Amino acid sequence: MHLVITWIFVIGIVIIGILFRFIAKFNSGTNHYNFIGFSGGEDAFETDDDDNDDEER
Amino acid sequence: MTTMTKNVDCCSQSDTHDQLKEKCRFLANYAAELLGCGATCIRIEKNVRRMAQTFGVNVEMTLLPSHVIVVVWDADYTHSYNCQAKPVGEAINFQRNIELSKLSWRVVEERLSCSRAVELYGKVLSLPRLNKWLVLLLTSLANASFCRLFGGDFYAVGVVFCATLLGFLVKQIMLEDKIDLRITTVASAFVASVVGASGHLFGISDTPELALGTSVLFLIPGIPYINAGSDLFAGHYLCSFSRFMQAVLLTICLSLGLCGGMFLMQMKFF
Amino acid sequence: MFSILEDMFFSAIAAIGFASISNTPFSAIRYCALLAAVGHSLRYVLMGCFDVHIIVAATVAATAIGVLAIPLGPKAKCPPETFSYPALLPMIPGMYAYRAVQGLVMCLSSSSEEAFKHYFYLMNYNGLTCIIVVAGMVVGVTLPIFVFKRISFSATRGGAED
Repeated sequence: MHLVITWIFVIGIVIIGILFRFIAKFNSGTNHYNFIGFSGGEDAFETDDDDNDDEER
Repeated sequence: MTTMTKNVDCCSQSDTHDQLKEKCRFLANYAAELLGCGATCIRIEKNVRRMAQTFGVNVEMTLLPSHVIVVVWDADYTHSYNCQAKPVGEAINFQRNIELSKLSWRVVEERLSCSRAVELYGKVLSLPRLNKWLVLLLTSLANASFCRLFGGDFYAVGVVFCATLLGFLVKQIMLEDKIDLRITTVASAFVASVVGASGHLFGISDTPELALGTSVLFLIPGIPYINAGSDLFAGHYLCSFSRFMQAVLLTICLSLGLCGGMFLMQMKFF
Repeated sequence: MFSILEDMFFSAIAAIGFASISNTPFSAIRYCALLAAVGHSLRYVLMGCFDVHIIVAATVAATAIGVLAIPLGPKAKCPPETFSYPALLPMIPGMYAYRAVQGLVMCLSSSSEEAFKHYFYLMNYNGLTCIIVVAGMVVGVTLPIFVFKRISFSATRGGAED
């Protein structure tokens, strides 16, 4: 019986956590979700740091 | 006269420098982007060399697990420029892989200039990923089918569907919040295994151990293992080892999450 | 016959789902499903009807997927690995990996030498089988790409749209 309670407790926390997060995101007015696993939106072309480049030989 | 010749020489040298720089930066970022989206090293090499040949430059590339170093020489090996780039994203993205490969052939066939190539490259990068809810649904269906393939009954399939739904949703949310992938995998596996244990707990399936076992399989990093194999064949041992270790680490995290869930639910191993 | 069709159907769905995680475009996903159905059902037939060991069956099935992906690449204007890699994923032997981990945990927590030896044997047998099956699959799917280099690396030729 206590295992069932543990199960309900864990799943309940996860579901409530997810719901809270969705509500918070909805309230903050951002309906735009970042894409899965894609870190950052900066253009990859711009990440080049000219300081790291060696000078022309 | 001599001064004019000197000025002309300086201008053409500066032009060469600028052109080499533009090409080098583009090729380095292109290669880094392909590396980040999970392309095999041999594909990156072939694509970059193909484009470099069209641009009329010679290229030497070093592919490291988290960096790409590209050295571009002009046609007669008198001037060079080198550039280092780091992949931005690390999620596997086959659509980007396909479009970037198509771009490299387009550069060759239409003899595109570097600036036009940069423009098209920017367009490829702005392509959106598949809708996350669709991916969630398809993954849940996939893992449920997996359970059926292993011989689970339809109740077990239902349990696995729910386990994957919740587990993958947790993973998506944690990755959106930029939480480390390894911790995300542990948490997602834990949640999925707790839901997967409901077959045992509520006695709703004849094959509850299959439900528990298959509930976390959606987290297995299959593509990095296969990419590691391809890099091994191509002789890129560093990249191969790096990808392999990354996949092993994720598998260990998955196992930790599964063990945690099974321990909490006091499930005996099957 | 019905079980083979069922196997093909479910492995196709599994491949579609796992391909969507890697953001495979829809034009390539149908080939993933086709290759997965063919590969997985081939493994099923080899193991069920011809009693072939899982290692050999998985390698043969993966080679079939790898070889079939080569002509499909130029057709779909995609690199062959974009649909052959996700098609392999339903064939990963999860159960052997679990039994290996189970064997490891049980042998570390066993009290007698006999029990340790038994679980150590289970861990090694399942672990080695799992590793070699995966290695066989990787070799099977990657080798055709290297053998048919010219076709594999020109698959995306002429496929770009503005």
